[in-house]
Amino acid sequence: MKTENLENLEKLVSDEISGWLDKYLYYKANKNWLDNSSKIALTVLETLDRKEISQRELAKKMNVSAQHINRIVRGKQNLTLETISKLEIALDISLLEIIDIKKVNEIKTNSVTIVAKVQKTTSNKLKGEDFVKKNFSPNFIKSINTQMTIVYSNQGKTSYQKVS
Amino acid sequence: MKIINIFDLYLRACKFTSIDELEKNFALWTDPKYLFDYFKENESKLSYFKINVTDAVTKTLKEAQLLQQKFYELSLKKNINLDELFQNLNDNEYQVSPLSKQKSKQYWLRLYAIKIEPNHYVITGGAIKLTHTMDECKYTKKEKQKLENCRDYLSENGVYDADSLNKLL
Repeated sequence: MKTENLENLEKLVSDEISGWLDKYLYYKANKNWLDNSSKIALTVLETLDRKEISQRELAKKMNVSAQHINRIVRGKQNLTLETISKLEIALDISLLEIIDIKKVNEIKTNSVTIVAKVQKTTSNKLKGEDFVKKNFSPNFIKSINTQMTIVYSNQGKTSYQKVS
Repeated sequence: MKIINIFDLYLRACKFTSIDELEKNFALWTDPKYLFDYFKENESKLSYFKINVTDAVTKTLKEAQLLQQKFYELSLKKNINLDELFQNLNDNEYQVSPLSKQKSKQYWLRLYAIKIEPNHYVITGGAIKLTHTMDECKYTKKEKQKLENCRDYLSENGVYDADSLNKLL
């Protein structure tokens, strides 16, 4: 049974319903790209602040309207690759990183090559000469700008070490 | 000022502009531009949390989604218990009086409400609370005033008259 207070409250409540739930359901249905859009917005805002560039200046550099930039930094814009590329060039930053599948295959091919077995000392530590190093191909080294060695143990454990 | 329904017939919110206070605050807390400007303006207060502006924005975006998820999950339940979401505004207050001031907390996010009766709330606003007390920051200070105004509005309109409120206080 409703109390008098609740009845009085209901007299004050309008027929309108909040738009919050619809907005939240839209977010849930589009979470993946909306979260990415927010991350890009934040990177753009942080860069603008660090480089002391205004949103208007960015719009001019990208040859788009100031309203367009405003929508981007609010994280609700479904950005095209063209817009992302324009942002990257205008701000000299990287927003997208796409993994080259060829490079991943190359890593796998190299990593499964067993070169030699290793011995263990009585103290259960690997001896220096027991480390077997395998250099990756020059193309791989060039692609990630570093050199990796692969180390196998006789217990089947594999580890990777960066060569300084 | 209007009072509108959020979901079911238990949770309501004040509407001072074109959108109600619940929708407005969640819109702000999921807006990277608003959050970035807010934390830049209040950067000095972030030292207590040992966090920079960019991380503060990321944290808020995440917490806002968690809080929305809580409201959403509650809205799906057959027997809604809003008392799970709200607590007394004053941490040292354990008694619940009519038209008591309440808050819903999620890290530094606050939604403020007036509790009409158990399970019946009217949201009056919200803020990102970076200070110990509400009086230390202009945003939370404003929310404190909105709570008072809403309480007055309700009592003036017969939701607990002024006399019964005074007897209880």
